Amino acid sequence: MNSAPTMVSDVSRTAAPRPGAPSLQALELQKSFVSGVVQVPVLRQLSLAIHPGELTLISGPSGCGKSTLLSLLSGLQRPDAGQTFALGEDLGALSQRALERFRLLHTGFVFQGFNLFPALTALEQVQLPLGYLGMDARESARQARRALDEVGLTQRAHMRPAQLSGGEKQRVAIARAIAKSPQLLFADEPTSALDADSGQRVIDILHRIARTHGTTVLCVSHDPRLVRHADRVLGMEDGAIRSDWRQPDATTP
Amino acid sequence: MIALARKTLIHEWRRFVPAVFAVGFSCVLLAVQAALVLGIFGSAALYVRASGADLWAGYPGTQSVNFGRAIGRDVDLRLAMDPAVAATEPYVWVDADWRGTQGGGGGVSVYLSGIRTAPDGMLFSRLLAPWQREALRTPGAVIVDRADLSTLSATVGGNAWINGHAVRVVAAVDGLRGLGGANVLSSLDTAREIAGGNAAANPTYVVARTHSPEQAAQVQARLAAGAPGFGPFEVWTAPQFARRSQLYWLLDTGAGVAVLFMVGIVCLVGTVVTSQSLMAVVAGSAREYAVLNALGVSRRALGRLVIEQACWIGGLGLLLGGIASAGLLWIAMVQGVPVAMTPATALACAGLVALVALLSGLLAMRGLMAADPALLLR
Repeated sequence: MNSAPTMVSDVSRTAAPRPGAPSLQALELQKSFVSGVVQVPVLRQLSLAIHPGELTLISGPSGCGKSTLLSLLSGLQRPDAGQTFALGEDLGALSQRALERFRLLHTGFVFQGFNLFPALTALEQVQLPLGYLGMDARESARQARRALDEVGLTQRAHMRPAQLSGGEKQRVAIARAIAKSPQLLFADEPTSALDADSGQRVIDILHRIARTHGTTVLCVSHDPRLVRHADRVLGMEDGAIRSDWRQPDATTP
Repeated sequence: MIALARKTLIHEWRRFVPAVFAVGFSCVLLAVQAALVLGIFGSAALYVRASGADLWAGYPGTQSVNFGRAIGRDVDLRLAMDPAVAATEPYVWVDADWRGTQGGGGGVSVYLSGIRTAPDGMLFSRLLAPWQREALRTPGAVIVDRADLSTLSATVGGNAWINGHAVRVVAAVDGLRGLGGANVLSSLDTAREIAGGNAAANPTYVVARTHSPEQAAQVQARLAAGAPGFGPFEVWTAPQFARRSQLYWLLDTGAGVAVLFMVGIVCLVGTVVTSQSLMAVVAGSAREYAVLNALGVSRRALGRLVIEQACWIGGLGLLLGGIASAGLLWIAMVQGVPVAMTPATALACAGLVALVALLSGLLAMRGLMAADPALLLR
């Protein structure tokens, strides 16, 4: 059983050392949203480095800016100020098309809602993004089967979303995200809509992906089950990282 | 590549039905409208198309067959002098007033066509059976369209009055309905007698047959070069004169503008309804599209998906509309409604329908605006 995370306030002083270059890096990120006539700051001068091969969890109360941070680190949104580096690439310097290309080649996403196309079978859902990578049907089917196998859904490959449970749908969504073997995997509240068993299974899968493929898995969640399984937990509050805790054995995958 | 557009269309066909019907209705409206226009205004050229003549000579500048004016009798001679012309015959056109013996009341405006009654007569050769042409030889004998019998308060075998001259309906045929008045056929002698006066002796047109139809254009060119010593006249080939008559009614009477206006309205309504239905479908899948965009599928590629869906809807709508149009036009033809369709017109209608579907797809791409992956983050 893992020990309970120890929350600390000074990031630079308490973050455990991690060998190797970070795969995701935020430098003094700022982001604010306009609500009516008022400008509401969401992220304030936030700096952060995330390493590959780990399941990193960003946790914090609702509205603390954790989803915004995920969207900036994944290139879905651009910061008002500061820089984001992903796999050494300055995301702010990329055009919209180059950013889409970067995401196509290197990133996977898992969202709280499963967002599967009702018309497609599980296998086709996973195959779909692979086609945009220029893969032929045979190769994409092979990759998709491998991904479905990894999430334990080989037997359900021919089923449509209406025939799958919530947990199975989320596992299809994970298979869709990992089929192209991305170096970066982003997950936003992946277990929130799931029951205990399904949630646990999803956590295990995300953890295994990080460990076995060396993928950078960045997860945003307030699910306490995830906190126990994460290699590293970043505590956020009021648009800033307030704590950074790492599993004692996380540096030796 | 997974055929997402096609698979979605098949799996969620109920959501696409309104869009397919909108395209189908646009198709039916365009096709039926075009067929009515061709049918109604095509009857302006009925006299040319129902006749076997290759050349028509009439008063210079005549806009349509029914606006003919008397030309010199020597025009017949001038045409006959051309070596490529095999035969000529005069056509006497009389704007007249018909009074039936039944029902009483006022007169009906009719176009009386005086034609040659010999078996090899060119005028209305495609409409009249040999016995009908022969029946016109009896003085005062006339033939009318079957559909005009009630308008003219006449019966086959019954009597009537044209410009105060007694006539007898010897036969009724199909396909003689005209534009602006009922068509009545008679012999040249009967027409001249009804017209009365010296002017009636002159023909309104002289039609000619060439040895081969290909020679018609050469003869026309030769005659257009001038015929000194003969009265004023102009020569057209049969297709030219038919087209000229039709275009006059279509363009110079304002009818064409009205038709174009209706085409515009049909296309606009079709596009709006189809794009709204399609946009609802796109917006309904916005979250799924947003995930694809997050995974790196470009907005351009997503736009292509919407256009592909629009093309499928356009194709299905066209199929549905095509079948419905064919059925409706067949019913119209059976019922004697003046409709006509040509391959070129059908192709033009299909092209407009395809345009409606494509424009709808382009407009529906606005639905992708809602597919922002950042909105999926909570």
